[in-house]
Amino acid sequence: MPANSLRSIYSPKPIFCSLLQAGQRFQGIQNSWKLIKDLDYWTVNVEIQNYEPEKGYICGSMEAIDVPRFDYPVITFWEGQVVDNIHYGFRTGCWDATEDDDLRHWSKFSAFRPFERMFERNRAREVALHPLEFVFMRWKERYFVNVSHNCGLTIAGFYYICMNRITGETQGYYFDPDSVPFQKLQLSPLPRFTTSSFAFQ
Amino acid sequence: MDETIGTGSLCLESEATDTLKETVKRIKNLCVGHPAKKQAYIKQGIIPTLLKLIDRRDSELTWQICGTIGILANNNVAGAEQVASNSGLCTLLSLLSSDDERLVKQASLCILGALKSVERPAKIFLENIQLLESVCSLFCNPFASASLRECTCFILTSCLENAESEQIVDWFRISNFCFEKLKSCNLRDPRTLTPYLNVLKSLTMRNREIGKQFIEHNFVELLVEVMKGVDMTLKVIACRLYTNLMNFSLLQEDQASKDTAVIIMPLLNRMLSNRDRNIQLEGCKMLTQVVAIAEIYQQQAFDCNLVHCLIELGHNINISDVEAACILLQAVAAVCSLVEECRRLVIESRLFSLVVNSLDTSYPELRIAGLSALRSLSRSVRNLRASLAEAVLMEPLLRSLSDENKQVQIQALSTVCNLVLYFSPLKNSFLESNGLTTLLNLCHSNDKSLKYYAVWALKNLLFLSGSKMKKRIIDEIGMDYIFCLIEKGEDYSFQEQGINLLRNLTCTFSIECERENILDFIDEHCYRLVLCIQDSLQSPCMEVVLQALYVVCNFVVGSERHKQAICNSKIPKLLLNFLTNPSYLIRIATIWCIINLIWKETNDINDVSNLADYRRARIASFMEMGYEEMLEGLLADSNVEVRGRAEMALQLLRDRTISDFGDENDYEQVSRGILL
Repeated sequence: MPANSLRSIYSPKPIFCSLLQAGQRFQGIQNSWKLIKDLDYWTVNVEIQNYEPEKGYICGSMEAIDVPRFDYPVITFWEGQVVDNIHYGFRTGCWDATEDDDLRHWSKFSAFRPFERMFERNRAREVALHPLEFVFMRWKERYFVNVSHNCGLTIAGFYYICMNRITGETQGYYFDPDSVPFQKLQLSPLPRFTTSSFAFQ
Repeated sequence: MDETIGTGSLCLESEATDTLKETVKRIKNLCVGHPAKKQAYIKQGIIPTLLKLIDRRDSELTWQICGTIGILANNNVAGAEQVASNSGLCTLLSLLSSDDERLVKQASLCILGALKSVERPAKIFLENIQLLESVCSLFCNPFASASLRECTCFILTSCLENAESEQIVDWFRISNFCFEKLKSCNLRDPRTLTPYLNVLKSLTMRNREIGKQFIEHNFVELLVEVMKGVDMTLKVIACRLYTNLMNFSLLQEDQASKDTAVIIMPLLNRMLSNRDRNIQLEGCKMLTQVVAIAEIYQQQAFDCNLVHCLIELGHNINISDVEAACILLQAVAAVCSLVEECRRLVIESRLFSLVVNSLDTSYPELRIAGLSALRSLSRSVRNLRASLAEAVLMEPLLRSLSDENKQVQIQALSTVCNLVLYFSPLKNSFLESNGLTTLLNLCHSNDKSLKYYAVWALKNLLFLSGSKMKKRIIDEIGMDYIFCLIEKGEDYSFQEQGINLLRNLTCTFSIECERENILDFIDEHCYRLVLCIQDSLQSPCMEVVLQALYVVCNFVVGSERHKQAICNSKIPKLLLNFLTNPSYLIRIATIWCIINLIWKETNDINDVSNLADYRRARIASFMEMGYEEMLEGLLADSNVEVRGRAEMALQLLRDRTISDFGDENDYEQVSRGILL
């Protein structure tokens, strides 16, 4: 569906996706673009721990296995913003990311192409994103769970994320002005759909 | 009686009016500034004696007596109790209808002073309807003086704070009178509005109809003007009235939100920053009321620095000041219930110590307030993982679960619901401290509230739990218990919790041994479980239906036996109907059930062979039932995920003619390739 046809027909609504429920797990790899010849990549397991579509909020844990120089998995806790054009738009507006950074990273996803021009014209916020096949997010790691913060790894940046709501295939690009650019994250959901649930009191 | 009174010209038993006047005046002068003397007179029973001497025919004497009684009762509980006794009040109230304005004023002041000094001023009037009715009539006297209005206003507002008062009197008479007065009040002197707004504020606390009439009389603009004014007392009354109207959703959301941000929140900031303890606490109470209405007001409270104000207050309030600590903790609980930034500020401040310390006091009301605050703070994955993990919480919490006060138990249980979640390090402390035994006992409680929260906590405990924990719980509580929750649910809320328990029990991931361990011991209950799911799928409560669909999804994964058990029941027919359910959540969950039922498994927990044959037979059966046509219809669904999942399900249905794949991953890749 063309982006501009979404402009006047719908008003934005929270984005529901069955693969983003608490407890859903994804597996994949993260690699460094420039160092790919040296096979500098590691396995990543992601677990969604809470998703509140009415707030555009998501959080979870990320487990990195076989990280260079580490003999054990490194686990971080991350929080995310769901780009729903209600709470969050494509413009980040924080975490040292400029609009150019936003455009450079979002443009890496083919699903973003219909919105590129609108983004440049500052009109991407007018689009309802809930009917689309893709969910755009930003994931920001907040702290290390099982190692100390001066372990030599950095979590200063964040990921631009694009997930296919149907297949669950997820891609991400890490942004941190002080790290290797465009480190790529590729995730797939676990083969079976099973769900568990909780509710805060 | 005091020696100086009994002798000579000063004597209360004298029949000479002048002597009586002098005696009464002397008593008053002796008591002013001498609390010990005052106490001695009260102990000697002087107040009932003075009350008996009231004679409406002699206004001057009566005036003196009222003045003296007022001095005696002011700030003295014993004296006030004597005045506020049934007969005393009747006598004094009768003076309020006198033509002598000076006497009416003195009597009003006397009554007001006494009532403000007793513990529960409303009790007397709520137990004596005639007395209350007479107060109502006095209040509604159009010619009442300011002091009379103030006195009767205090009585009425005290009574209205009590929920029992609702059914006792025809309050519409009072509200209509107030509306008339507001229309005719002098707006250049807003203080004239005080008694009417004050009574209306109390009336609208629980009475939506009166609130509605307030709006129909177009008084909201007046209210906003008063809130913007300079008189602090009046501003506070007006704000309270405004928030009562907000509470009943009687105001337009946009306007209410704007007025709250621009007027109420800054006012609350000033109140919480005021040096007067009473104003601070009143501010806390108002904040609690406002932010409980909607999340946006909690956000506004954060933006207006009110959380910082609460933190500052916490520095000056000692836990031994039980009343203040309770009110502050209730405000914390309210403002932190939905907004993460508020929680973060409190947890990072010294105020958090007050929360933790309150769990261990001997005052149940303080424990309740502290537990309520802790519950709000724990509604966050981030806090559970980090900040709260380091706090010494588990011991006092576990003690609270066995508290003799039921409200303490309920609040503790509600908090435990959050603390036993999978990502909370406190879950281990809970289990190591034998918390599970206490929790399982509470699941069998005869008290409905306790049982409900205990089951909720159990559900949360089972979220993403491993097979060992699940097996332990099933061994201790029994599958029978869970089935009974669902089958004989006291109401849908219990059914919903029960079916959620089943969902969490049956959820496994792709770890083969996990799946085998869990579903193995559920196997012996297979028949009853399927019946239970079948009945739940026919529930009129959509939330129960949705959870039952998720149970089907979980139950059939990796087990041909379970797939067959489901397909041999009425469930496939029910699933077909759900494909056209108005709720997209139901449609999506249903399609997932279908996908999981016809998924090509490569191994089975019961080592069933010929999986491909069984699968083909199942697909053939689904085709016969019309699944293909229904799924095709969903390709044009309004919801993108429904469309995508329907396409996925159709691919699986139609691939029965494709020969076996060598590798499960290849199969998945093909499935995804078709969709990309």
